[in-house]
Amino acid sequence: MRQAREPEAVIAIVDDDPSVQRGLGRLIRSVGWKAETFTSAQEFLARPSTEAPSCLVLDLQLPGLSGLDLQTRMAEVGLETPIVFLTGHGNIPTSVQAMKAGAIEFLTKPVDEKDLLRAIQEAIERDRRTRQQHATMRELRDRYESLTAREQEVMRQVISGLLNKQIAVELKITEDTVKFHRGHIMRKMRADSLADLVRMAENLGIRSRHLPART
Amino acid sequence: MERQLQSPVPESKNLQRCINDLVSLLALPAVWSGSEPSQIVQSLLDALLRMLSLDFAYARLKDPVRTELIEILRLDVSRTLYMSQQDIAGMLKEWFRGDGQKSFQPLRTRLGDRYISIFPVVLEHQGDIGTVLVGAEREDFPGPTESLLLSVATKQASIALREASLFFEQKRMVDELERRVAERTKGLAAANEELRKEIAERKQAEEALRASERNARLIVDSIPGLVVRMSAAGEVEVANRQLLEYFGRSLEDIKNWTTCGIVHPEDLPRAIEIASNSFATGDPYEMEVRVRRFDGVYRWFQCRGFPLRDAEGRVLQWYALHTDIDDQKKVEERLRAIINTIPTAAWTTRPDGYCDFMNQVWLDYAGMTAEQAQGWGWAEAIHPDDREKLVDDWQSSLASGRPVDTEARIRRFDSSYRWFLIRANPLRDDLGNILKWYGTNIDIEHRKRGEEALRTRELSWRQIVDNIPGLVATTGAMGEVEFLNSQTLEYFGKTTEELKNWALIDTVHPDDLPPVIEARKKCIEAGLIYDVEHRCRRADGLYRWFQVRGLPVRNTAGAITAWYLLLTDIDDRKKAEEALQSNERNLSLMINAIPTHIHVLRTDGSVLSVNPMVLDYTGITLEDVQKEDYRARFFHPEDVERLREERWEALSRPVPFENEQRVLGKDGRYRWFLVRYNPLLDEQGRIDRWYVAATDIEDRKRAEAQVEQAYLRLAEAQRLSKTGSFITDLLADDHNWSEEAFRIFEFDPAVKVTVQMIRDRVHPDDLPTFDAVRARGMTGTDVDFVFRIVTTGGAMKHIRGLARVMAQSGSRPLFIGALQDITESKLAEEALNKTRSELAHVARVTTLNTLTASIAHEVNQPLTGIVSNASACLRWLAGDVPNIEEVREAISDIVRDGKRAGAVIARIRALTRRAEMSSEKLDLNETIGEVLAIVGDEAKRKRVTVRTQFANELSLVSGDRVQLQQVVLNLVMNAIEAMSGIGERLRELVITTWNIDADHVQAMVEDSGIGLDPNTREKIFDSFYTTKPGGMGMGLSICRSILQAHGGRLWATPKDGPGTSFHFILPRYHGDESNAAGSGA
Repeated sequence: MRQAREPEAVIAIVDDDPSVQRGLGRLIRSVGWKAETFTSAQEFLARPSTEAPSCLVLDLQLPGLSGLDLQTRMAEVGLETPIVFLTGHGNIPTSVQAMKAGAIEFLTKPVDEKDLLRAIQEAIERDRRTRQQHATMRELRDRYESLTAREQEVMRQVISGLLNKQIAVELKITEDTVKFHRGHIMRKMRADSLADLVRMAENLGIRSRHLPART
Repeated sequence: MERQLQSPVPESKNLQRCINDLVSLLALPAVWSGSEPSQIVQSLLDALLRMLSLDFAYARLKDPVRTELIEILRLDVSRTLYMSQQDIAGMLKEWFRGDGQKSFQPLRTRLGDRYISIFPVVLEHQGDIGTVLVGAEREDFPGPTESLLLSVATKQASIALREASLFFEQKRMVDELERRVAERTKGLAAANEELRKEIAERKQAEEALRASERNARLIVDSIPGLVVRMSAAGEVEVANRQLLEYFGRSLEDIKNWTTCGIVHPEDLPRAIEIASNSFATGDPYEMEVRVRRFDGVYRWFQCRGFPLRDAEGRVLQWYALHTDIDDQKKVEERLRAIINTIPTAAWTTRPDGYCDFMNQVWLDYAGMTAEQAQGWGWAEAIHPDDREKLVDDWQSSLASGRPVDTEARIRRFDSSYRWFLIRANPLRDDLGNILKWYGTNIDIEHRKRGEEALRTRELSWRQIVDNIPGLVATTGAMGEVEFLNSQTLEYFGKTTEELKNWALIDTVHPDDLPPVIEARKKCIEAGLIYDVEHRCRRADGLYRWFQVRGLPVRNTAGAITAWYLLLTDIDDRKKAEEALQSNERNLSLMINAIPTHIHVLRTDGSVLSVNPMVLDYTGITLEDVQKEDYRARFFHPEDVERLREERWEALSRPVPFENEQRVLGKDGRYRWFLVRYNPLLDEQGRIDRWYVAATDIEDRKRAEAQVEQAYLRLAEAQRLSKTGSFITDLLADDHNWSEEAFRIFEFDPAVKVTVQMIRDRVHPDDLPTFDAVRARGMTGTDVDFVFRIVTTGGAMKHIRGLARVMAQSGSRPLFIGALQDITESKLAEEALNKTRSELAHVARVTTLNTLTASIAHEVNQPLTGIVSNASACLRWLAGDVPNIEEVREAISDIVRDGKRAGAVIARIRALTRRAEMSSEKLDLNETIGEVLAIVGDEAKRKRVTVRTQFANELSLVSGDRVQLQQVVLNLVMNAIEAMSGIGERLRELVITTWNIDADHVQAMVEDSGIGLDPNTREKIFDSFYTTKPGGMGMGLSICRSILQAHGGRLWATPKDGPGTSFHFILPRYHGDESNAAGSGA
């Protein structure tokens, strides 16, 4: 497990009970992660806007804003930090709600060390995946943005499966020009094949052109 | 999309058509020039309908000229047959009803059975003019070219409307200007006309003036009157031609008219007097004088003179006109002669009342000369008593012009007076002005005498009536008072006038008035003789009884014309009658009212009569009483049997006797009577009657029986209540005990009780108390006591009693007292206490049950800390270089958390402990704090914020920690629950403590919940009352009894804002001195 961890993983603990706060904090630090503790949901939301933590260990019963409330609030602001819920006395409806809303795990106090650490680990991995996806998308979007308007237009025709000739007619340009644009597109998008380009377009949410009726 | 794919040919056709349409649209303004707005809109709509193949076109705008709303709807009849014009109009109206701003969007809507595209276009030009709505069934309507056409068309129309508005505005202004110019011109023409008229009039006036000047001279010279002008002093200066001709004199001759002999010598002095008087005062004069004509004949002339004054009012000249009235005078003379000969006094006066003629008859009668009677001289002849009235009448007639009609006595030449009827009528000219008054005096002495005689006769009759020794009155047919004799007036002390309202002024006694009025009304209606007795109020305010008899007087036709009433004082008779009646009444009242039953018996014992009391009591009639079976029916059979012989024997002897018998009442019960028999003896000493008086003695009998039973009952009561009574002389050790007292102590009633005997029975533990009470009693003070005794059988009894000083026996106090065996209630009380704490325990456990989750959490929190810390420790210890510092910290946290968990469990155990109430020194803040530690998580889960406001120097209280915590727990849980239903409001639980006074501590638990219904605020403390679905309804009732057991109290109040406050008060801990357990004696 030790080898799997990211050196800079930060775990946020939100619990209003000092015993729990200190105990959990210490346990997490003993594994090698960084622990940040908060006594209320409000305090967590008001934390200095540094890098988001990799995981949030969240008590369900909090004074003021409850754990579930915080989960909802985070979803609203687009904070995707995975959550591990802790509760003194879990009940099924609450846990179902929390899980449906994307929680990693729903653990009952006093929590088993192994369960908690495994859940946190899972959260960290999910967080890393999410971050990677975000990075990939960002990269892809940057590449697409680097295309000229004409190239983007040609790309839309290309992924629609039109032949160079057809594209030429459609855009009222010569076939050579189409080929020229096509080469640029493949290079700039770093696409190995047309299939690759189509997948990228799909990821980018670019729709193929609506095909005109053929006579 | 579809349009885009159309082939180029129809497209170009389309465009061609569009251009054509545009051209025709651009031509429209030329058509519209000078049209009214409604026409413009109409042709616009028609053009659009045709060009765009619309289903309808609709416009709604403010007429820019007339500022009224124009609404025009045009339909393509061939297309819109499916829907009526009204329906479309209705739909469009609906469209406008909404927010217009929002609705300016193309709209696809259902119209009838089809969908239709509606496109709104605003007509505007420097401001909003109106809206055009066009609709077509086509889904793509309006296409780009259509939109273009629409926008061009509406722009054109907007401009045209604006122009129309300007055009009409301009036209209106021109019209207005023209109208004003025309008006002004007309005014000027009128003024001009006026001016011309004025000039003409002035000219005419001048002409007239000139003519009148000319005429004046002519008139003066030609009028058939004689005119002179005199100086202010009366000297003739100018005379007209007629005058000079008439007199046959020159102006010089008549300069001084007084001396030139033209005025008749007889009239001269008078003429001079009148004229010089006028010359002196400046007043006009008028006189009739004879003047001599040129031929020496004297003729009567009326001469009138008028002064001519300057601006300061000074008389400059006199103008005099002399009119020949001789002929008129002659006629007058003749008339006078006639008048003088008629046998009636006649006279005339001038309009001002100045008498200018009295005929000879008058003069002869009065023995006056015409001169004496002239003017106002005649008034001398009027009787002094009548003179003033007559003059008044005369003056008022003169002022008003009404004919005179009055009577007065006029003195005859021989100084006797006779009555005259004086009448006068005015003579008027055509204009209604009075010229003269003509009057006659008619001798009415004879008639007057007759009247007088009548009056005298009446007076004498009246004297008779006045002297009748009764009150006499006459009334009209309908009862209205006409005459009352003097006795009547005297009696009532009122005038006839006042008595006309006799019914209103308290003449008849108020009690009698309504029947009197009723009787009078009846008699008057029916014409019956009236005979009523009632009280009349004498002048001094005293009421006396009168018999009032009234007889109707009828005329020959039989109709009633009057009533004669005689009022006879019958007061004395009435009083006597009343006295008699009241005596009788009193007697019978007495007999009827005395609560004694009276029987009158014949010698054989049969009933002759009874008083009403008997009838009332038995509920039967006198006839029933007189029947033979009366005695058998109404007297108790036992008594009848018992007394049969005795009664018979006694009735045969002429001596009074008595017995006691039960008599049956109408209520079906017998009552005891003491019956006394008294014989009434005749002259021979024989029994004639028996008078029997029976007195109800039931109550006495009953009382006797009650006294008999009282003692028995008392003993029974003492036995039942386990209460013995005693009378004790402590010092003499002399005790008089009741049966029950003996029984309680299980003493032999035969044995004489001593203090030592009692003391032997007293429980050893209570001996000090007993001795203390006894010692206090010996000093002569009242005592209350409680102690236990142990009977010979070994049973323990609780005794409670009291002794009060009843009297002093010599110097020794004598006590009366009671002692009660309260063992059972003591045991019951103990059982109750046990049950109560049992119940409290159950309630506590129940409450804790509902808190299980919360409690688990309270334990889980430190456990979570412990487990996490321990795991961390293991890791650190397992590392290559153990992190000892972290481990130490973790372990100290583990210790702390472990203690924390232990404390929670200890508290729970304490609360679940089943224990009897104990009392210890408590800090209420701490006690409350421990409860909050248990419910903390529950509050959190229910989103309740808990706040404490604890007093810093809170006094200690004494009480049972567990029970008080139960109270707090209950109140807190209730508060949390009360707030579970509220939405937005802050859920806040506030607990406050403070020292309310030197001896008490108060705590308050407030919530912001739903609050209490004022009607149930007290009920919540009742057992089994609950507002919670699953509640037992015991919580608050137990809380209250806990506080009562602590000497405190618990209550609830509504808060100013939402929510409820619960308060409880506890007595302060007072150390050992307040330990009251031993002070039961």
